[in-house]
Amino acid sequence: MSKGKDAVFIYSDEQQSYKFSNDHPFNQDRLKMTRELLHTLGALQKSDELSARIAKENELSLIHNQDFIDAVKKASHGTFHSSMQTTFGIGTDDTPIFPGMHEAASWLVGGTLKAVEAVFEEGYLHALNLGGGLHHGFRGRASGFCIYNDSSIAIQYLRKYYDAKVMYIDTDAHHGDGVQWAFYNDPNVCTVSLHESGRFLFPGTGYVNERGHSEGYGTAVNVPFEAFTEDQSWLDAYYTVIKEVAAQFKPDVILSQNGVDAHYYDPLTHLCTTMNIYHHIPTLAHELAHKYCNGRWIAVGGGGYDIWRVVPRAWSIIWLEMTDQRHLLNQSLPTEWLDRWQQAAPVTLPKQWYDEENIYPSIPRKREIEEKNNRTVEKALRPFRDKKKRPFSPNY
Amino acid sequence: MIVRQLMKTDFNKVHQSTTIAEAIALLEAARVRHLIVTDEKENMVGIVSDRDLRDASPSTLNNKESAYSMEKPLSSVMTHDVITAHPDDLVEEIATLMTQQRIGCVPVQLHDEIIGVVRDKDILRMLVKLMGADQPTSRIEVQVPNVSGMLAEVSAIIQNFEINVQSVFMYPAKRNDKKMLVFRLQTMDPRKVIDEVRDHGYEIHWPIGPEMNRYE
Ligand SMILES: [Zn+2]
Ligand SMILES: [Zn+2]
Repeated sequence: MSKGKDAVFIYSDEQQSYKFSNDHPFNQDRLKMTRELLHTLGALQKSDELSARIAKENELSLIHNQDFIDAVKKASHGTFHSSMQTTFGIGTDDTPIFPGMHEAASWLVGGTLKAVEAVFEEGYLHALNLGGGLHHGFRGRASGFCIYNDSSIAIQYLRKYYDAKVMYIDTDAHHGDGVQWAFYNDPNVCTVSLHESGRFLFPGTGYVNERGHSEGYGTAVNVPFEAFTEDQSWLDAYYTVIKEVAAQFKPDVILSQNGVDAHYYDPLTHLCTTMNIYHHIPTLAHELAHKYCNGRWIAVGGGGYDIWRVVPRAWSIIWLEMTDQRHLLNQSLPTEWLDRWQQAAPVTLPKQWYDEENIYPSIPRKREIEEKNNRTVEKALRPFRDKKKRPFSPNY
Repeated sequence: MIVRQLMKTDFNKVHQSTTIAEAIALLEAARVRHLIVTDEKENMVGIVSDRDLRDASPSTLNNKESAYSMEKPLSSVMTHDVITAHPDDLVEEIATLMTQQRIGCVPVQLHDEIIGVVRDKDILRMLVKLMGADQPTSRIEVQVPNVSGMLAEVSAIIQNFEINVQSVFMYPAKRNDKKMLVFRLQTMDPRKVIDEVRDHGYEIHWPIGPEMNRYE
């Protein structure tokens, strides 16, 4: 297993400039809070960090259309037409325009590319860029708070320069639509998304029958959870699906998107999970990276709109897992950090790494929800379990 | 929406003298379920479905007879009296017809020429579009009194936000005096809209809290 030096934390202050407005739910203070928590814990040293970089335009165009990039640049420098709303999804309520948005979004992409370089060029086993994970961005259109899709760009970069087989694991509460559609036909990129059902929640896609197309059939996997799904059901699905898919796909690298908006406290979604799942998610990703990928594991952030009670704890755990420092989770959160941030917080900050019991009311449909989720997992894995129709066998 | 906007213009035609065996091979190769059957002048004389062909295929009991029946021409099994649509017909009209007559494919005829077909899957695809399920959206459901003007009132509330409404539909609620309005909004964060609609006294049926999550 890896020791401290094997993992690298990617960050730079420019990542915080990705800010739509003061009351927009996407709030990059998350990065600051998480980093400070890790510093206060003594778990993150200067020598563990690498500066993010800004993505070049030709890197953006690995995925994005030129007319979209041009529109974002124009909007970024003050030129806006209302037609950009419908054509490119910018200037909307979700993705308002702000000065420097092109550069800010390019810094997030550059962070994830830096993470790729750290692992593929500089010999690190694991790299974490919490500024990334903007999984809703489409080739020609901003969507769901995301302008450029750092993960899609990084995957295309991995395909192009390293010919790597990539397993993308997305545990954000929203379907990872942008990444899925970008690689829907690509048999060398397996996207796995576990999310709240799109029946009501944005973006509405991610049905279990979305499995990839033509050559890529079988390399898109979706597990849509019923609203109000709880820890046990969520984790059963996560372990079952990720293990089976990894065992058959045999990736060269794992890219995990760590949106943390599946938590009960998250204001935008309707799942009832707790911190418990955020202790398990990086553990399995880490284990599988060592088992199949010689350790190559790139982790990015994503959604997470309870920036006080959920994000700093959940994201810190990823780093503690990556660097084998989980023993630090046996103590309470550092008082120094709690005192500093409690002043700004509108809610009481939790002092432990797990949530207390009964933070949400009991769920009347608990059993039906579990039953439905079990069936969803079965359906999602059907092509993997049917030997004649194995998605990755050469003659399929 | 009219048929012209939805029909598929490349479709498979075969001559009526084609044998059943050949037609089955054609269907399989083209991965379609219907063939338009024509005469020498390329005029439609019938339509044949995979089902017609399957029904005409022999059982394994009598091999001699089966070989014989597979060599019969299509004209012996096709539907002669074809139901057609006009390109300017309303889609809902054709959809009703297809449901009533239980048919999966309707040729679209203009003057004497077949210019396209409408299949059940084209109708389904349109339904997905109409429901706004092909675009990134959040869904909210509002229960309103079953009186006129409700859709306009709720829409007016939503209009106060910079949020695009991708689709709206309405269906009768369980209670006779109520109706359900369903909006697909192009936003990841519909909270402000929901609060505003609720503040105007309408009942939000989704989203709800976990303790409310029951199917009555
Ligand atoms: Zn390791
Ligand atoms: Zn999300």
